[in-house]
Amino acid sequence: MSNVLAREVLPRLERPALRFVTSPGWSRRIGLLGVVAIVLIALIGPLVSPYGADAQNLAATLQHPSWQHPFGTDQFGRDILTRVMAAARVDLQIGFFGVTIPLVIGTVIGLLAGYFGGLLDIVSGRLIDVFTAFPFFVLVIAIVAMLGPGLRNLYIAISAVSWVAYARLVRAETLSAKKREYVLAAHGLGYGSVRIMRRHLLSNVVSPALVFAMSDFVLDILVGASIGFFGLGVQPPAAEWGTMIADGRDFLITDPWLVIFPGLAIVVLGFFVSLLGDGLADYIRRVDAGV
Amino acid sequence: MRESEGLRVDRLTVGIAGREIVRDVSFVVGASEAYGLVGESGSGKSMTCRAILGLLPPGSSTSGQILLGQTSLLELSPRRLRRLRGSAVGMVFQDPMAALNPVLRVGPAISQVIRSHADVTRTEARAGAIGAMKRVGIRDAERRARNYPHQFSGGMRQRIVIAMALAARPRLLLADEPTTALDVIVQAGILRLLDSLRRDEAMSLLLVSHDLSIIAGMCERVGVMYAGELVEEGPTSEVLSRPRHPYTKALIDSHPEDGSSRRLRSIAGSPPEPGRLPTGCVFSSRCELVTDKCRAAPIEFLHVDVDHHARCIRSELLVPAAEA
Repeated sequence: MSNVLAREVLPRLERPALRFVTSPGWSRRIGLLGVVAIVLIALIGPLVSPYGADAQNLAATLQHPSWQHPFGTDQFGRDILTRVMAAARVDLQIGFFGVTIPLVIGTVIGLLAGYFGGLLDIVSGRLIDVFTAFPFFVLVIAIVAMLGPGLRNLYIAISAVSWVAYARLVRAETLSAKKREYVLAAHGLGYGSVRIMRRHLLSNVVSPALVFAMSDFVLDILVGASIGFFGLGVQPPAAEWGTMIADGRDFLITDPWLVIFPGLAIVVLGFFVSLLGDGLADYIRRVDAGV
Repeated sequence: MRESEGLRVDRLTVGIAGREIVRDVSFVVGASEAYGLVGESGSGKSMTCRAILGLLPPGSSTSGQILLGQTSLLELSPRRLRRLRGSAVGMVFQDPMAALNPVLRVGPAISQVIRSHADVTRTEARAGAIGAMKRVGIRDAERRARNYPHQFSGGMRQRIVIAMALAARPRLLLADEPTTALDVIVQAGILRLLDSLRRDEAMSLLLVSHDLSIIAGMCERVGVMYAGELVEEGPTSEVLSRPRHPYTKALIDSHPEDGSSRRLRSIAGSPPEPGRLPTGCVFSSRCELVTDKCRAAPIEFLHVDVDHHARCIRSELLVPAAEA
């Protein structure tokens, strides 16, 4: 039995995914736990709630938090807890797509520019400078205002602006990684450029971009909320934290829970994602150091 | 014709950023022969290797000729040269810590080499990789193939690097200071391995080292490099016992002898910097036998004995009196 444990079970614990959870480092583990919990709440919460996210109950408007409505109700009598949970789906989605699309675009461009250099590097470098020169929020809002409201246009705007950050990080890493001896060795073994970039460079240059992706995730949710606040994001009656805050601001003095709970949700999600990002950075540093 | 199958480097000159790092280097490595290139750091040994592989840093220029069998390497298109790398010419690098991709398991890393040069299935390549690991003396290869480079010791990693270089069965192996980063015991094991692999696979070996004793034990012929030039070249026993260039002689004299307690001799001065070479013989500033004629003009590679060349016009002076 102990033989089986030593042969079969223990080696598997070394697998990256599991080690990511089991290896020490509290901020990474707490962050991971919190983010997973929020995702589960977003998935399950609206299903088990006795109220519909958009169901109005004009007999019970602007109720204080109570056992029936832990977060209270809004001016249409909709349960705010249910709406916050339903909105989490939208905001997590904004964070997810707002990070993955630019991450992929930026990584590819950064890798190509760093590896080949030359004209490609010069052109993408100037493009990166141009985008970096504009304030992120202003540019995203301008693009969404131009394209019109809606989630799809929000993703387009975020992708158009934030790929530059990833491209810059990946390019810098590629420049140093391509001079390492194992890349020279890969050339010496007769590998082509595509294989060298995909198998030998990509996995070694992408880690700073992944860490940045965590803080970018928070930023994207804030952008989503701000856009929603301006009425350019998710359209009513669908719930989204920023839109909820915007809708509730008229009641800020008399019924503050309309604004406080969606706001808290943003803060809590941001907190856990940032913890995860911090922990991830630590983790990657340790793995790089070979500990 | 045994030379036609080996490597022939003819009047190779490599320039980087306007400076000639390697000048007028000619030598021949016969088929399944071991050739040693010796010299101190910066003498151009590594650049000669990289020129053979076509892996010089960007912005460098070459002239002369490098023939592998009948193929002229310097005239090949990048695509054909790339196909030759790994399959016809393998290379072992100096630092096994740096030469392996840290995020690739070693088994897949080796089978990648096989798959990129031969049309084989995944399973065949996997079997080939494990076979290659066994050939370089890694025990329990099936299990070890799943490990990452950091789970191996330095000597084992160098064995993996060698397994990768040999996976596609090249005709010529370039080993650039393969044991410099390893301790002496491990070093002996790696050298024995290289030697037996070369004999078993009937492949040519170009061994680069700064250590004369390594080359003395492994190579049939040796070339001595100094400041980018090949200053002497010939059969190893001949060159070591009867050096015909003052630099070779000084190099041998500065090597510790077994059981001797004499102070090590060193060569006065330091090698010239590239771009600031003397007009005449490159060794003239440090040579004990220097004359005005040595300083006047570059010295040709002169035939001094059977298969033995030296870049010195006063080489007769080095022949022991009894033989002269």
